Amino acid sequence: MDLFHLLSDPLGYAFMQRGMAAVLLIGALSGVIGCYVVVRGMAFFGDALAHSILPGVAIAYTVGGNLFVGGLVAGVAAALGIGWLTREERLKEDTAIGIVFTGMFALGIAIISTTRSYSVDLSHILFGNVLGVGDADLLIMAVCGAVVGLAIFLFYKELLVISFDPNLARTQHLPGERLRLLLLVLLSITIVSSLQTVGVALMVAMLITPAATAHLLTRRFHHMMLLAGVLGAFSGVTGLYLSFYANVASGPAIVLTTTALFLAVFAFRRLTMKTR
Amino acid sequence: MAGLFSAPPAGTIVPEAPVKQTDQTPSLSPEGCPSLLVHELSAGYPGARAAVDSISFAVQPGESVAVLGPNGAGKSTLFKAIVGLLPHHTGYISLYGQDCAISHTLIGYVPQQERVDWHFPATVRDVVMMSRVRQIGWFRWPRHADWEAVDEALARVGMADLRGRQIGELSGGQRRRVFIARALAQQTNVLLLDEPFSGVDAAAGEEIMAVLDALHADGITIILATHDFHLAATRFDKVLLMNRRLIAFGLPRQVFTAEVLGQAYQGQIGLMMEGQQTVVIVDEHGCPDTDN
Repeated sequence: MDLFHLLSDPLGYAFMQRGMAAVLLIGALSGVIGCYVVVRGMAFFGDALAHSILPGVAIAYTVGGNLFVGGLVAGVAAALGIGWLTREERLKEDTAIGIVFTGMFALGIAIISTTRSYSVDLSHILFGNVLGVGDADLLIMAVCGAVVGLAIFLFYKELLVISFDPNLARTQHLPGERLRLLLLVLLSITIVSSLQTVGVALMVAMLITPAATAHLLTRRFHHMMLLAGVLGAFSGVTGLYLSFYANVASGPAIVLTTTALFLAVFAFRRLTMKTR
Repeated sequence: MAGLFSAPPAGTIVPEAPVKQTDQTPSLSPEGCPSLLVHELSAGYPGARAAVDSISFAVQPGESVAVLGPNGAGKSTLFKAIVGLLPHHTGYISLYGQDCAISHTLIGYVPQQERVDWHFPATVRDVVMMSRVRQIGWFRWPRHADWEAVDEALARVGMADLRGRQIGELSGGQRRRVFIARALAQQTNVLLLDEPFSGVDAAAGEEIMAVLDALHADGITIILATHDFHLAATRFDKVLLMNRRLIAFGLPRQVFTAEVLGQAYQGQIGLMMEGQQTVVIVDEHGCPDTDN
């Protein structure tokens, strides 16, 4: 079988077409927004946010509501809760994150455990089910991608300033708290829309691994974002093919692709730095 | 650790009373407003004893002022209050007669330690552009004129050649000059520098001072915190000596007297007459900047 057929055959299935579209969109989106997570050192926060959306999704699922809205509400609530706990240094941030995220995650699992198809639902939420993506899901992902992309484009320089030098943001009277909240909302939107692709447990890999890889190769922030988006989309597509042919679950296949790319680039950088 | 300073020759010290401004209101200059007016300012971290206690002074346009005082005298607190990084309890600050609520954004501030991630993916130009965030305005990207302003600011600090470098690839002195350029790029006429020579070697420090001399010659108002008495005496128009409160503010020869320095440094200071030279000995523990 030649390369063309190797790549085109899986696309004969409608579910694979939708899956490909989904991983392209979500890979690019999470790669771009993940650049903020990497440069701001928010990896743990991103992981926590991904887990914290579970009760919202679970409640929406059991009452037949919109999973996306449920997850978004829970994500923003978790972000605000962590912010409230750490205000005036009442609690260290990582402690507050740990408390809120495990509490909300446990609540989500508890709610799901009351449903009959407990284990199947839970594994889809935890590890994703990209081949179950429907047309309506794709539409939501596309809208989310457009909203997040537009917001980053419009607030690029302000988000750059609060990420690089919060003191400059204060002397320039930028609304730092509101911009940080905007970033958290954008992050929540991305995470919720990515739920079906890689799931809650592996979500943080899509946020930080392509961005960390791009960081090694670029020296300007918007270049890092563009490259991270390309790497995220490439990893998504490659991982989905791997999952098709090797018969591996799609979420882990995608994440392993991003990990392999990172390790290859990291090794390459180490080698070139030594010979310089 | 004891540091040695050679103050200006003893003959130049005029034994007159220092200009004390602690209990009088600084007046506006007749031509217009001072560059920076600080009136009865008290500031400090919430809950703690005020690190800056009722300080008043006025800096006229184009003046260069060295701010001296022992460690913990509140120099950094004063600067942070002026640029709005710390709230002030009482008093007011104005820049060219405008209230500080607006004027914070008009002062170019170079912090003592740039607490930034030097591995951040940003070039020298990108960092300097950040201070123009308000001028550019919401929802907009930098235009051609903004990049020109950035390049001009970099040229003024002698960093034009390195504008494409990632910031982590610069030396300590170069990083400091980039932050000076960043302050200039916001189109300010007032620069506030908090110990810009700390943590850089003597040669880099001299390069920074040369940049500041050129800016001073261009009419930029410069207010700089330092521990270097010799530099303050020889390269600045005026000296402000403080220790929580304002001790003295005036010409170097008015401020550098045994009586005034004794007030600021209490027991930590000794004066020796050696021929034509007055030698000031300051005993400041844990202060690496006192011995050059």
